[in-house]
Amino acid sequence: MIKKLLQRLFLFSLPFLLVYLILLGVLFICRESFLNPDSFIGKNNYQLVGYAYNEGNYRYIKWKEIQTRAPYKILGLGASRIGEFRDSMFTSSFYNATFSVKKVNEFKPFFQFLPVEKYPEVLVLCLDQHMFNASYNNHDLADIKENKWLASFSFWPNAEVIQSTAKGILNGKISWSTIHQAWQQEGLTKIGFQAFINEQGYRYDGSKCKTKLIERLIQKDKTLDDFEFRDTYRRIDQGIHGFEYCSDIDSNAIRILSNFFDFCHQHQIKVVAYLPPYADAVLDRMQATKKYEYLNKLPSALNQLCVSKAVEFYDFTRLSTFGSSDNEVIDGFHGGQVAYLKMLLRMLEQGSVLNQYANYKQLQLDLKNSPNAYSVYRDSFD
Amino acid sequence: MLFNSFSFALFLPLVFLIYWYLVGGSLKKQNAFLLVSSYFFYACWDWQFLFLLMFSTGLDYWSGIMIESREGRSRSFFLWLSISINLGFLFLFKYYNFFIDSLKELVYAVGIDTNLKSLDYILPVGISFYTFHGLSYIIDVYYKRIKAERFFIDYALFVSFFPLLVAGPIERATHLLPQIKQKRFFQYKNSVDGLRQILWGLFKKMVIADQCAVFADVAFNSTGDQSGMNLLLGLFFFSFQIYGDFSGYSDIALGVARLFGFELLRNFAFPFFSRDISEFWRRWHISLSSWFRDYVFIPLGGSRGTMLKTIRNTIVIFLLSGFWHGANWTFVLWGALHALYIIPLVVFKQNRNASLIAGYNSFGPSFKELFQMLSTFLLLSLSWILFRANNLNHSFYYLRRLFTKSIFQMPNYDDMFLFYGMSVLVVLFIGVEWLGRRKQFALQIVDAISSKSLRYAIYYLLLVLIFFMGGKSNQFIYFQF
Repeated sequence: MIKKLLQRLFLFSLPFLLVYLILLGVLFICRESFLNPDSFIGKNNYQLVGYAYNEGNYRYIKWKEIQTRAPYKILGLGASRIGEFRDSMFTSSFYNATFSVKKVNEFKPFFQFLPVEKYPEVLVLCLDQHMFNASYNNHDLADIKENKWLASFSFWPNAEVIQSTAKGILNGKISWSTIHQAWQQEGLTKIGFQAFINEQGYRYDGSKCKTKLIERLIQKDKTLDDFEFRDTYRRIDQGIHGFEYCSDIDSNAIRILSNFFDFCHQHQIKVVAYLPPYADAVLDRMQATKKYEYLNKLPSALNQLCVSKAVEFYDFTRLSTFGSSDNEVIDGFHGGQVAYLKMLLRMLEQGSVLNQYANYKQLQLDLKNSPNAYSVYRDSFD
Repeated sequence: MLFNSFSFALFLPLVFLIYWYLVGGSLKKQNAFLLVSSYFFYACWDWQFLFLLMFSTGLDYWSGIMIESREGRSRSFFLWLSISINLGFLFLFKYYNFFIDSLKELVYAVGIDTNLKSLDYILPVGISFYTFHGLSYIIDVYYKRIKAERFFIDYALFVSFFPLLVAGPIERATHLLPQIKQKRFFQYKNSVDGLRQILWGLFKKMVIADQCAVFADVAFNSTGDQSGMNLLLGLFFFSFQIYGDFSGYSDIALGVARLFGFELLRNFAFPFFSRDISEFWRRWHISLSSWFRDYVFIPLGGSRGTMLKTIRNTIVIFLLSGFWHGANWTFVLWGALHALYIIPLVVFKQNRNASLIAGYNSFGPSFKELFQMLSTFLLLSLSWILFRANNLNHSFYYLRRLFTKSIFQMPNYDDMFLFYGMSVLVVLFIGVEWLGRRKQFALQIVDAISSKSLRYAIYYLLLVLIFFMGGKSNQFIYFQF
């Protein structure tokens, strides 16, 4: 009778097992799962890593790239609003550790777990405004005692990843031509669903690539989530997802940042810090609510701190202050590569230490030759 | 390992196969193997607290033998020794910080600063449950309702049987030990029904509970930003979240136990069809409420004395029940609120009205029954504010925000499509539960369908829903107890 039960159970489960195996196969073929990043970290055998459902792997990859490779002269560190700086903008080695940190209390541990010899000479540090907003969701600033970057990698897909893959196939986002393309690919040029479907992800230099998104922006695709900043406006109206209302700066976050600057000074790391831009229309809307008083106080508070710690500081909150405009933003709070190149040029004009690592004239030429309002350097993933 | 995790999906078939194929011929081997599997199961949560579980088991085993072999006052000595040590551990791990923090706040309020320190450790999983297992055994031995178990492995299995180890049901020695001492034989029909119960439990947990949690979390995590209507709906969704979560877990536990030839105590009997709060407590977390009835309420005198004593005893068990759920004043107040709900029924002797479930002899409920069920549900939903809120301030804030003019606004969520979908699903779920209310669990109504294909189609539908709507592996709510 046990055998009868097992047989019936097996036959009953067979369709699910088959579907499950197919989904695992798709994940494997598109390198979304079952690919150990150590097989490409530190090597020059990949061009674009773009996971759709395993974003935790990015933190692992970024941290290990720095740990594995020869020390970079310049390192970019921040959440998502540093991602547009590219190695092509610098004359010395540069790595963009965008998406590696989310809060100020992660800056120091990110370095502390790295060998000292891997520290850069210059750190370009993106200070998201909401890092100093105590009302921002998940604002826990406790000490970090474990290397969460190493722990963030997942080889096996969990149930959520498998489920999302099934949904992606059913709604057509993951098409059979995508799977075929991935199957045909030799080597590891592209890794992950986003890389194959949207040519979106992170390049070998750590910078963010958004090929298909930029195409849609150029075509003024009305189906874009943040078309005419509608999603950002919704966040402002509801005070959610990085746009929580706040009147005062979180002094604890300032204290933690100060501590980090001391750490950098101790290890002879020159810091170039900046507040990233919002679209002007978005910033005006935020100011009009009068619920974001902390934004008005933040630049002077950070400037005061940075001056006292001999850290370069730039307030790029408003696009127009460095010659950019709403035509050069990806969405309500992410500038494009053109905007970021303009930010870099402004830093160089103001005598930044980055002048030793960048060619101002070449960058001006690159800007002039930009193919569109969002990109400076073309990508090719063949 | 969670019941709805891949690791459990690997663990269970392996244990099942070894249990029936390799050790099925010997009762001693069956029990020993299940005990080892149960300890492994618990060690996957935290191997360090496994020693605490073993110590508690050993203490109660030894105490039971001592109680049985003694007479007079020394019997009481071993009884109270076991109770003190068991409750002592429970107090230390679960309530010490609460009392220290409350004491600090109290003395600070009168202007005194203290150096009392809280302890920094996590709560051992299942401590409230296995402590109560042990206590029920030791008390039953003392009152000679059961003989002390002399074979350690059998007793240890009673305490640690993995389906009920971390979140109940709270078994009785008089119910489970006799099953442990009897050799189990594989029963096909029982196992199939057990698998169905597991399926139904997974559906309740992963589809109903985890999806309702989305809307409950919106209400409780951003109370200030929600309209009164959203907060009211948040309460209803939380009601279904906690029901789906807890009764789903119990269904999985009972279903798994049946695969190994055990029948565990039923823990939920369609509580949302209760016509008053008293009936609710006879249908919700039955193993806990009956435990408090048998080991606290009745020894205190029950309802045999004066009305005042009955009321006192009622208040005591509800306060204790609230306290059992968590070390927070919100839980104590939650218990007190339920005592307040029940006392009028006790006073007017209306607390034992409903023995059969609503509409037992008809297809649908009568208007009176419908009104009673809805009112009871509303009272329950309001009480969940205290259960779910972070603290007392949050509870009162929730109430203030709830009873505003915005309670008449239309619901407004980021994902209205999900809201409508979940609302329809919850209504359908209530419908299925209603149709299955005379059964052990609702999915058993499928037996009435003669077409095998249709029955299998329903099972597949449930699996597809679990696959597409589950997957977040959210912890079961009652694991924190």
